[in-house]
Amino acid sequence: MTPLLEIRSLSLEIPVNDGLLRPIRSVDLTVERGETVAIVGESGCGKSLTSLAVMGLQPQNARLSAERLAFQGESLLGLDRRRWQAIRGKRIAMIFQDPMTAFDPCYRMGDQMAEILRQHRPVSRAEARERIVALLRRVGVPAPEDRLDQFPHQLSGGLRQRMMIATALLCEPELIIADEPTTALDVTIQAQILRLLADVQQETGVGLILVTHDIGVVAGLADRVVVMYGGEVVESGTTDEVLGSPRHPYTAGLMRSIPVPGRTRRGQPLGHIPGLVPRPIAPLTACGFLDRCEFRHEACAAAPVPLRSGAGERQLRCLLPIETPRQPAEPLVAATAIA
Amino acid sequence: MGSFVVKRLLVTVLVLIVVSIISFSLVHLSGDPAVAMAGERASPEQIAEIRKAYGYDRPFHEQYLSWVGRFVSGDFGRSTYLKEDVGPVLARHIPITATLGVLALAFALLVAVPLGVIAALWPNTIIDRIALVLAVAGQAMPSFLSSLALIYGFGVMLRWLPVSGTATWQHYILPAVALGYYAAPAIMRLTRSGMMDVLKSDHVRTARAYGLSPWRVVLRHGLRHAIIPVVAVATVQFGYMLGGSVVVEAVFSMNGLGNLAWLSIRRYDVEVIQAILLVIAATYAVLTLAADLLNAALDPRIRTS
Repeated sequence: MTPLLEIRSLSLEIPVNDGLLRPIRSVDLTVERGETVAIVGESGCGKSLTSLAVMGLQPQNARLSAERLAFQGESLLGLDRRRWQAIRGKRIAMIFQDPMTAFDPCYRMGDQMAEILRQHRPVSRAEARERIVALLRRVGVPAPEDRLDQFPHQLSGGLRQRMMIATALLCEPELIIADEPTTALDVTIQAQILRLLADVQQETGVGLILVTHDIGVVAGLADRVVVMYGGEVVESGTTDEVLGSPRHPYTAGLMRSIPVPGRTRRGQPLGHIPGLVPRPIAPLTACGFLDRCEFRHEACAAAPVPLRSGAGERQLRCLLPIETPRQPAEPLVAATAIA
Repeated sequence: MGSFVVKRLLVTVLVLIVVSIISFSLVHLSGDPAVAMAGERASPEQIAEIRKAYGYDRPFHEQYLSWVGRFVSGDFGRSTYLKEDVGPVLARHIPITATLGVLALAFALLVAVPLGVIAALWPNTIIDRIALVLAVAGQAMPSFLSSLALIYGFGVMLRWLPVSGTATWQHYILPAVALGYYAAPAIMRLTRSGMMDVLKSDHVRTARAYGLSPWRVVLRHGLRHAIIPVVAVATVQFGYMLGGSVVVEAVFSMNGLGNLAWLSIRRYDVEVIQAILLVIAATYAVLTLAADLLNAALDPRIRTS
């Protein structure tokens, strides 16, 4: 059976003054029908760009190349404007990070949602209104009829994000890409929105790509996890595999940075990964994570590290053993680890 | 929205009061009006008589209030030079300048806004460069020079359009282009930069990601935002066209308000100068009010703040 979304060897190059930025390097990603896949990584790892590229929304001057980029078996490479328009919002919908700015401040919420629905479906204004109200009720927006006449700035962040989710559901898409859907929200609202996304996903069976830098939001929601670093996939597998026993030092570092209720003591410093994501300017000649890795050794600097497959669905881009859980070793770079 | 309108109206009224005080004071700031009216050979007695006759001997605030009272009741005073009421004089000159200003603004907007949008959609391409050259040329060329160039090109060489007077609507075309061309560059550059900013914004990305057609994205979700600063600038330029088109009016021999203002200053025709000042200031105030209301209609966030 063809997967819902199939990406093979997707790369993006952006010409800049001092060379060629390579924010995405040969990324593979597959999403099955009804599956939730989380893409995890720090800012600047290429996860948002990857999701934008699926919609054909990469920056205008970016050069995209891929062995295969297919949605429901149809290639998305070289689509013309009209065919993109027929896919965007209708078959693939996107939920954006900042609901403050994602809606046009000049138009009433109801008009914006109706504009999108009527772009894709031949419905009357009254029918559009009816469907929007029903959807708003579904995503837990109180007094939905009143919301239609409000402007975005008159709504709270949580409400706006609920309305963003309702907007994504308007045309019953087959795939929803949620790009950091909870990052701009209060912590209490975050949990509600994640619950809503999980419910909606279960109810509609839509495929879901969840892009996040917060590995903590992944656990309850995703079937599979793809960890990205420096534009590459560094580790992937089922959520249990990756979060249960992370093999890549980067994944492990992300895990250490989450406080665990009951385990993390008051005042105890959280784990962190020293250093910053490097600017992806040159082709890789070594492991991309080399500079920040606590386990680096000579072999890591010799050549780029290939992606290897292990037991189950796990894939790993690291020279450390893939099968046996890594033993806590003496770090080469001082890093604070949770006991 | 209601309270916003009321607030803006109050501000407009305040501005008008301040401007009227200033324009009234001008008479006294620029010398003794009685001396000027009496002429060079007048005796001190004659001057005192005139001073009394025109009420210049009364306290300042009394003079001001009675002057304002006359204005509000529609009496704009009498021109000492033309020996004629100021009202009819203004009524002759204002329509010419107003027509010229509206046409010039229309020309400026029709040229500058589409060019700005196109330049923003394809930045650093040949179209953008051509627009930039046009803008720089327009900004750099004084309007008397572009007026003469237009007269030479379309009037003398091609003989398509009349170049002097205000007899028919064709007479307005060249001066409107000359006046509008000077205003167009600022509007164009502002539209371009506003468009480039808004095209990068999140809500435009949303509109694209939901499959809206490119023109909808550009016009409905882009231009509406980019045009907001343009409204303010175009208003100021429109005010400038109405009050300061002296040069263009002179070159094309149009007897408009600018021409009248210039002549009246030379004649020290105080009542006319005051009336023109007030008319122009009031026009500015009303235009600014209209621009603010228009912007409030375009962007709901302005209404509530």
